[in-house]
Amino acid sequence: MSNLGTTQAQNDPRRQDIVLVAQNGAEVLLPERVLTGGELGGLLGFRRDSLDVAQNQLGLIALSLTTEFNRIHQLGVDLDGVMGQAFFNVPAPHIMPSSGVVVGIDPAQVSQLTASDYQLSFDGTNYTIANRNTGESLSSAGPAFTFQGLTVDVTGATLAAGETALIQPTRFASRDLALAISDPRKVAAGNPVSVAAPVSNAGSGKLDNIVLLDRTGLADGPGAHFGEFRLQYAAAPANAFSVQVFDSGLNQWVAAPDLTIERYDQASGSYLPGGAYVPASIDSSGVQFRISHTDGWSFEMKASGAVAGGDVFNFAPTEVGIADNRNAVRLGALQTEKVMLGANGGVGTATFQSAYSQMVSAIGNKTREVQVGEQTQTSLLRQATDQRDALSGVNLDEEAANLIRYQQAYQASAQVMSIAQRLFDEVLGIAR
Amino acid sequence: MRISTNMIYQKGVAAIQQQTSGLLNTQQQVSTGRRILTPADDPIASARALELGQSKAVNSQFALNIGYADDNMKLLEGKLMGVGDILHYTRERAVQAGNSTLSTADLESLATDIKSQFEAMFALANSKDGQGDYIFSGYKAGTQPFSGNLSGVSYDGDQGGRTIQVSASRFMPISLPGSDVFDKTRIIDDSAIGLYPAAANKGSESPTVSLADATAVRQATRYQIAFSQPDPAIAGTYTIERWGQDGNAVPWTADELAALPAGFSWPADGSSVSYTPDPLDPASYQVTLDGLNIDLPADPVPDPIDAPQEVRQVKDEVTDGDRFEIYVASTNMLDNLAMFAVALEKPGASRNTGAVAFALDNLDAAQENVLRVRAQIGSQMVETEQLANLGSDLNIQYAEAISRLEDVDYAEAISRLTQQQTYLQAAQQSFMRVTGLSLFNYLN
Repeated sequence: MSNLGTTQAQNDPRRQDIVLVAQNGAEVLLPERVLTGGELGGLLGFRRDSLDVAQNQLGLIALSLTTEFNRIHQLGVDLDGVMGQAFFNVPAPHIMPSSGVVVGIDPAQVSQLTASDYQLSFDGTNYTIANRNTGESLSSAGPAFTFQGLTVDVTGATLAAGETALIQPTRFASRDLALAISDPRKVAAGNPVSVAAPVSNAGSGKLDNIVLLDRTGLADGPGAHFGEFRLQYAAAPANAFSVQVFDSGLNQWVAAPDLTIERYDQASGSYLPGGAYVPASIDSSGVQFRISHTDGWSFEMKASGAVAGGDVFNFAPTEVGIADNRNAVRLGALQTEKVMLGANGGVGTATFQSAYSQMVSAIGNKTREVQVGEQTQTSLLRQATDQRDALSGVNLDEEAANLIRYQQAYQASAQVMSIAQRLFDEVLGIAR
Repeated sequence: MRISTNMIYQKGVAAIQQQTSGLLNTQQQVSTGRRILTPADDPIASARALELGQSKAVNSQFALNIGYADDNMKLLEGKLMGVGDILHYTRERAVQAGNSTLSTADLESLATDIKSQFEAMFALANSKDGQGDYIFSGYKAGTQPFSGNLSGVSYDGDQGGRTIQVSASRFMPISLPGSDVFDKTRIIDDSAIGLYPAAANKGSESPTVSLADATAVRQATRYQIAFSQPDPAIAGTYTIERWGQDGNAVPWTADELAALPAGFSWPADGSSVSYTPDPLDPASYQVTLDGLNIDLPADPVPDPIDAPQEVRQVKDEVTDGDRFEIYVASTNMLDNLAMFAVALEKPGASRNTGAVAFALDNLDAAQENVLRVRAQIGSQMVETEQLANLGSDLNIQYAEAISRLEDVDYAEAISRLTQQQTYLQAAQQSFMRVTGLSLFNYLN
């Protein structure tokens, strides 16, 4: 006689699979596809179709929220003038077996993350990472590659040829979500870049809406995050801003060697080199500029108004500005920003709330589907039971009627006996 | 088909259970007021309701933010009104001070009045809000924005303006940096510089002054110019002294003196500079000092040379002992106010006429600036009101949409409840009736 038992799943020790235990103790794994019906099939189906999906989806929201929130938070400065730290502990993707592969999240590609699990396989030369839901895959010899928002580093990998590892970026993310900072002083509400127009400016132009894009190369502080520089506007015929730094050797302002200014071009939707700005045109209602440093950091800003020739705008790291809420406003705006579920390589298409709604809707649909299935099955069961009972069941009225019939037959038979007795007695009487 | 007795019981119980579960569901709907008890009841509507719920929550947050913005702007408006009142009052005093019959004592008492107005304005510029944060210091809410006194005010805040999100795409400024309100109230151009002659001057003309280089100009400064020409036949000399806004002399530093154009001479302490134009060189009548272009009148030899000025044919354009005063304004309205008060107390060459002309011009510029920022605050207050109305309309609309998606129709639900109750009763009673029927009842 064989028994059913459970065992740890091959790729996931936290998961139990069903096995058939033979009499000699050998265990044969029963694939889930053969267990389609019954209570066991239902439970396995629930685990596969509802629980896993919901956990991954919820994990995806947790992962996207923490990563994106951290990214913005780290672009700010806190009350002590220090660059922001991670606000949340970003839950690390799980990989089984651990096999020396390091999997992380690329903060710049939050929109590319999916709720799927991934399989990493190694054929001896190339690593292939495949999305287990869609089958999309990427092959690379390493040592590091990025796929659907995941960064995979196989430098220390110990996978043998033919071995696979399961990567679950989102499965436990909502469980492992935790606050990384507890000190309110560390909330990075301010913006590290400040601009000031000196009173000697002849024009009324202004620069504002400074949005830090990248902090690579900025000093953490407290203190100066970057060296001071300025934008100077040259009137016609140049009609352009130029970036300058102060050269203490020459004791004058010179063109900045490592800073560039680019102007946003509406038509092409991209930044083009140069700081052209014509105050007497539509430019005065606001033009977007980007200033980038060769170290990597860059920020956007808006210039507007009547800038006069010779006007300067001084950029300096934000001193301890306790009322500076620019980064906090930016964090708040995340609530309605579409950061999740981007098209391939594109920007996000869903807010955190929409992703959650989507999950609720999916689970609601699944539940509804199961309910309809249950109704159908119940109806089928009832009809089968009826059929069976029609053949094997007992109707008490029918039995009672039979009882009476048999009783009457019995009584009739008894009457026959009594009449025969009497006839016999009469015959004997005649002979006497 | 045989109907087994077992079947009769099972079907009866199943029917009763079905009715009971329907009844329970309806009862739950009625008692919670919600049509959707679990997302499975209507997956699409529940997802939509979640989205709408967020929109409604965000909208309520905006309403709250609008309230904060409004409070802040009322506070700002109050302070700015105070500033406007002070400027208005000071302007009246300035007009009064323009009366040429006023004695020095009168001017001094007016100066005292203006000084207290300066103190009031200084206090307003350094005012705090309810949380102890300075209103006019930009992002540096913990730093007192203006420091100094009558001899010079400096701005220590930054140019940051706090914003608050009041709608999906509108981040409303709720603070004004002091640089906008007090520190940069006018642009330094020709109109910020005035040259006023002394009333006793006998010459027919005055030098004129204009701006050479805005960045080199020394703001909030008075220059005293005296012309001496003992012999009308020989070119006279202009001697210039420099006074700070507190009326004290500000000698030229060695560096400044070294940078002066040719033609100037000075005593060792740099307390004044002298300049003698060369009548043979017309270009020498134009001289640049501290970023100012001073255009001196050409000075021909008068004819006849010994007659009084009134009866000469060729008049002496500038005569010996003529004095002039140059006022250079500051961009900061507090500085200008202080300078006016001091100028009444320590009159220069032009006595009160220059001080008053200077004050009227700068008070007007300051008032104009205050009106400009007040207009901005005012239009923002109108905007918050409109946004608040819009927000409450939206709120109702969201609530209505969510209600339509989620909430139960009570009339329908209660009539359904009654119907299901009737059905359940019918099921129970008919069950008892049917199960009570048995032939065995007749077998005794």
